[in-house]
Amino acid sequence: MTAIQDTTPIVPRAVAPPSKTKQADPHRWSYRLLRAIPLILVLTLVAVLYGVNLHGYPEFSNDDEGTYFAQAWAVANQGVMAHYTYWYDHPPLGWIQLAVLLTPLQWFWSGDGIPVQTAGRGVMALIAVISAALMYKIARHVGLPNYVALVAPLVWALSPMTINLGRQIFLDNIALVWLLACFALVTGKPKLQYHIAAGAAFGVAVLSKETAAVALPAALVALWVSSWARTRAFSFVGFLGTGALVISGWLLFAIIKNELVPGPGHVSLWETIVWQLHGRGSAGFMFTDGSGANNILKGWLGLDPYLVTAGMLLSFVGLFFRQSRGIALVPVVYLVVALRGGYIPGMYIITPLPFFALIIVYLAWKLWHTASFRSRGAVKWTGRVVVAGLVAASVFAVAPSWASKSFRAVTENQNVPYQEALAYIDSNLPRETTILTDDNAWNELVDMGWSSDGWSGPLWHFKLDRDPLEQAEHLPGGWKDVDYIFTGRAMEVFVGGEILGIENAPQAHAALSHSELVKAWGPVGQQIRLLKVNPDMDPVDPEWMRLNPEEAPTAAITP
Amino acid sequence: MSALIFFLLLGTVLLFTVCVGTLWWMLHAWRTPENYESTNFATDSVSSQRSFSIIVPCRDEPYEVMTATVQRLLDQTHSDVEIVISVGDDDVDTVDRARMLAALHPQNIKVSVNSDPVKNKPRQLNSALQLCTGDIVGIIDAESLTAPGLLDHIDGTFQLTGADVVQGAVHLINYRSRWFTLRNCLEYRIWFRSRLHGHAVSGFIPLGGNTVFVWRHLLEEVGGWDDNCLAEDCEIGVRLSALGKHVVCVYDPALTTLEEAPTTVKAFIKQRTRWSLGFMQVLAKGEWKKLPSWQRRMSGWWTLVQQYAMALAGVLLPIAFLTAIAFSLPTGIVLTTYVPLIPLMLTVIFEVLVLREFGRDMNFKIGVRDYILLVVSTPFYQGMLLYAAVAAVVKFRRRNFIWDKTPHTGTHLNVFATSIINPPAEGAKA
Repeated sequence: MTAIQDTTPIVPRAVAPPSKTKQADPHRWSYRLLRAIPLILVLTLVAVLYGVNLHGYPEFSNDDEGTYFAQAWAVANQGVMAHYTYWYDHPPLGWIQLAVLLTPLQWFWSGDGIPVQTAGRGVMALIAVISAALMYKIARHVGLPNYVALVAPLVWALSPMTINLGRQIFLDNIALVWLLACFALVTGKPKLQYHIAAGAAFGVAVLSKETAAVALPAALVALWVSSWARTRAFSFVGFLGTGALVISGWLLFAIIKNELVPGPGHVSLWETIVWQLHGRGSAGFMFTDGSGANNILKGWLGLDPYLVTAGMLLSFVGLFFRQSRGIALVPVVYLVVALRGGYIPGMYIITPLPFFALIIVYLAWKLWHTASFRSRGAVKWTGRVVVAGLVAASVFAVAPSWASKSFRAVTENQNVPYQEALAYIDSNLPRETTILTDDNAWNELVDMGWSSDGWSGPLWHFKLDRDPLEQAEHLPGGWKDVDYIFTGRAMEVFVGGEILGIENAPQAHAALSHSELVKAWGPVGQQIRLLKVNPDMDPVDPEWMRLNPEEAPTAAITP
Repeated sequence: MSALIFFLLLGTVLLFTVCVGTLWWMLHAWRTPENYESTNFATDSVSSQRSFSIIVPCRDEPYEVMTATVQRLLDQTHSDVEIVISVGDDDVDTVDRARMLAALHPQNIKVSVNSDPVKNKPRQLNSALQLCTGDIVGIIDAESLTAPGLLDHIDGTFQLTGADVVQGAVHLINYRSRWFTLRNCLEYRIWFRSRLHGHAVSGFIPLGGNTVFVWRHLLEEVGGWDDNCLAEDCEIGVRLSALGKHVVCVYDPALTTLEEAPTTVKAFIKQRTRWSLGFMQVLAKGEWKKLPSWQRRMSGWWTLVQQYAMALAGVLLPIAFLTAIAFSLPTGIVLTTYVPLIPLMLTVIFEVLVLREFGRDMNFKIGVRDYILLVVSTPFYQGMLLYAAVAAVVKFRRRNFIWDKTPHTGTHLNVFATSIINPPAEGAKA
């Protein structure tokens, strides 16, 4: 059945360990260190790519970044799960981990004029380095030689898409590192303790971001391939049992707080799950032009067409090889789930990315290996030349754009207007004012000394219309009690759109319509603006005002 | 309140360690293919060379129980076996039965009558040892059914591994006699199928009292068993481990010795209390401190205290968890007390798998009913273990070391009659 069974019977070993010889001992630390140098170099490159210029690239233009950071801040500083009422939108373990790591990393990524959220991106840098190391481990486990295995984390880390998404504070990045740990454990030697640990890692991945659960079939296939036939039942039970018990901790959390099932006056896990599965608007079919999912796909292809296209196509090929089957299945199941329709966030692509890289490198090596060892003479050399040519052509096609984008990521500061705006607010606005803003600026304002109760200081625009009970308590006058509006890039993108439209957000829309421009930073259309709310003025169209700042009504403030 | 939280968290950390440690040892045989393979190896390549003396300690045994045990020993394929039935002079009926059996097979059976004023198993073993003439001395309990090829296999194991001691496997088989016998059977299964092998590898092993084989000269060298120890098997195992003797465990489903689990709660608790008390004696005697390295001393200490720790953990963990909920402690604290419950629940889940394997190996039809019983009976069984552990502590403090023997009723003979013990060959089932 397997190789182990065919060998001579294993006789129980004597208790005394065999005496060690002093010659070339592969366990000597100096020998191991020497062998690890290439890996260390790769990881250093990843650390630089993901840890330098975090305040400058990418833009603080995604509200989710601010939300997760604020939630981690609330865990660390207030001992609660979120800066507003936690409503089970995601399992909280992701930002709990962020909270734990935040304090030490604030030492590295902080400074004058640097947004506080940069430290959160620092956690992502740490995660990127660990993810790269785990990818190397997986590549080794599926049979790649040492130096080929180093290419997989490089392909992943150098992709402009990974750099863009991997540097932002996303729960998917946190879930990904646990998912990679799960695969690294599952593809290793068939030891039951690894499989139990893999189950725990998978559980933590799901508790970090629930979409990691999509990878379950792939993890099980990888487990099937690498587990030993006679103890396979133990491996599966260990993996699934541990995973389920870890995840059940979240249910337990809801039960303890009496928030498992709906009831009067409190949020519930059940309601949120129903909303996540059915309530969110469908993004439509991914390949129908103009659908939401299609726009997201175009965004991904704009960031990096090479890795996504090649990785996705080759994943289907990878399914045919036993060793790579589990890995190749990850992108495939993610694709299947995406094609079902339903809601897809832009970060959805984060999880398949490393598996794209792994499968590309695995298949390239497989091709080379087949050309080298399965054929002879002229065929062998022709095969090798073809493979080498393919690899070289891919490198030439990709390298220039990847290199320039990598260089931009570590040098260019795209957040200059944002930093200037924050400095202006810091020195000009009184701290007892209520400022309607996005979750990114929420963190910065709290750091500058505004109240963190969510209502009397910075007020997340999403909550003004969607938490009527709290709003009535803290802001009896509704939008008229708001003093300023600070639209960072994350809020600016919603102005004139559905989320801040008159139907979904009448209060926020009214505030925007009754406000005068104090100051704007950056180019028109992509501005960061500070507005002063004036309930007595004639309403203006927020969208018009956004596009025509020079014609907008203005207000001056005196510090 | 903060004191409560402190003790709760401290207890949680300790209990987590206990549960993970227990799970680790329990899963030894299934942890890696190497471990799995090393629990069973073929000895067909060698022919038998040693002579065996098998001691069968008896006390208040029904005749049919003794006959069945002896008959199975007489049926051994190994050609050089003498049987020494060991009885006490105060137990007249059993002495008579032993003499009757000896009269029927004068070539093979000897009777050793112990006349010490205090009666217990180690004393009976020591007097029987004086009559033994074989190279290797084995102990087969009075209610044990041995497989015909057992001694040949043991002989081969001694030759192939150069072992000083070979421990065979014992299974309880009357798993449907009472509600708790299923768990008891499974406990034996895990012990002999898996854990014991892990202990053997770690260099510290508390031997079992049944189907254990030692060179006669070695037994004589160490002065036989401890006359006053209630866990004489464990005690001699500790001493042999401390001397660095090489212990090998063998497991082959076709060669396991079949035994009967106690069939009343009273008898079960009595047996458990005696064992616990015996382990305490061994711990107090301190021979384990003579083990060569600190890792082995730790492992030895842990092996001796583990059953108390686990008995405590099984009851305390749910209590700690419920306390945390009842006192409305912060959610983080409650969730922390949940963490050690994960390995505890995993243990039960794995036990279900072990039960399945047990059924396959022994050709028992394990049904849904049995699996449900296994899970449902867990807390009650844990409760009995804890009770026995506490009873042992009380007895230990009162220095009450009287041998409370487990009565045998012969239920394993019925199970044996209704099932085919010799399972199909190993390769056929996986």
